[in-house]
Amino acid sequence: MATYQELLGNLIESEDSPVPQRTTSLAKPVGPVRTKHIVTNCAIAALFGLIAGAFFYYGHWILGGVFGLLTVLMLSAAFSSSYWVAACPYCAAVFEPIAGLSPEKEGKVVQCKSCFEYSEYSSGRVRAHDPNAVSEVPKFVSPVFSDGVWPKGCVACGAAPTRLDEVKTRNVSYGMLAFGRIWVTSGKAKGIPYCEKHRDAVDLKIDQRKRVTLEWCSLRMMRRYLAVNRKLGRQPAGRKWI
Amino acid sequence: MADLFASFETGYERPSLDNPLLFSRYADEIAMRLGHEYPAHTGYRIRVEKREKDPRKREWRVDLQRGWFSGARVKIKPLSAKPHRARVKVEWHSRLLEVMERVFAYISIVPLILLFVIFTLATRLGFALILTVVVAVAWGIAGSIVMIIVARLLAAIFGNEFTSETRTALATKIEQFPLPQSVPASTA
Repeated sequence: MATYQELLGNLIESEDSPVPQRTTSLAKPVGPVRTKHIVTNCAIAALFGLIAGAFFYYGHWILGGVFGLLTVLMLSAAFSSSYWVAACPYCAAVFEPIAGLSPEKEGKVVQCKSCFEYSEYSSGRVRAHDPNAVSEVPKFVSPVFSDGVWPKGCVACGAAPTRLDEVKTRNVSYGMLAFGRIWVTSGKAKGIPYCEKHRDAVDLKIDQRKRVTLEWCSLRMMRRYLAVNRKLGRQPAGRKWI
Repeated sequence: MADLFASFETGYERPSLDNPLLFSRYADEIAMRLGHEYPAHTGYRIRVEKREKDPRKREWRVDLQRGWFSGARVKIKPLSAKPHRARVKVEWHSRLLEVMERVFAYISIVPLILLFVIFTLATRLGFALILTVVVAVAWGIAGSIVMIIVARLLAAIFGNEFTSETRTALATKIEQFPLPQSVPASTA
């Protein structure tokens, strides 16, 4: 187990990574993006269809009807023309059609699945989100890096750290409860730097795909965390344990 | 303006990491000002409770009670969509209700654990958990209704100072209290 001094020594000096000035426009998904969207939705629809068929076969009309409805919804989503995409202003990767971008959604904030940077749709363009954005509750999501390090600064405000906290999480798989099993996943992150004034500015979460993520109150400090770990060549932990 | 439910919305212009701290100070400010209005030597009791551990469930409560049977609770709860804004509610509450809630919670633990063990022996662990949660929720709802009825009845018998009108007036008064604005110097 690492001592406090060791954890303190692991903090890495870092600076704010640059914010691009470029903006991108919305477009309808075409080519491989549209194909991937259709294939994914049709695959899910096929799965629901199979489940619905099985329920109907065994005479469970209500459950069969529910899954049948889900099948129809997934098929309509697959071929719907209401989706919009745009390129990420940071890395030029294309936002997923289900990210929710739309000309009507002024102020919509989206996160790139490739670079984890946040962008915002405003005034007809997709641009980098305000890098100094803060939230009272942790909402900016970043992956947890394997052997990740923390930037040397309070995770809320960037001030010199005066203490190191830890955060734990636990996740119960509700899907497994339906089969009468309890499946609990837990995680812990330690050595989180804080100043005298702040606490609870970072939260640890386990999503439905069992990926461990960090949620931040400060976008600026989240970007620093991403930058410092990328610089050291660390990889997102994915489904691994912390 | 305070609405029919003795509540109003307040808050700050934009998100800031200092806002929870300022809401906490707002609760202290309300308690202090209510303390002048309802002094302790006349039988009032004012207490501030701060629930700040989970950032998503932050809540500040100022309890104003007189005796065991009458009182009001000022609840400051940030809006989930806009946590820099908060809804301030003035609800009826009493010391008796508070004690009953606490006792009910403690005495419910043992039977619920026993129930969970019985369910676990009878079925799978996951189903046992679901069943226990369902029973606990139903038990909690039924218990809450009974406790509120008992507390309200006793308040009606022994005198309820904090009626709906009083609470609406209190909410209107609290709405006049200024929100703390002095943000401590940021080192960011």
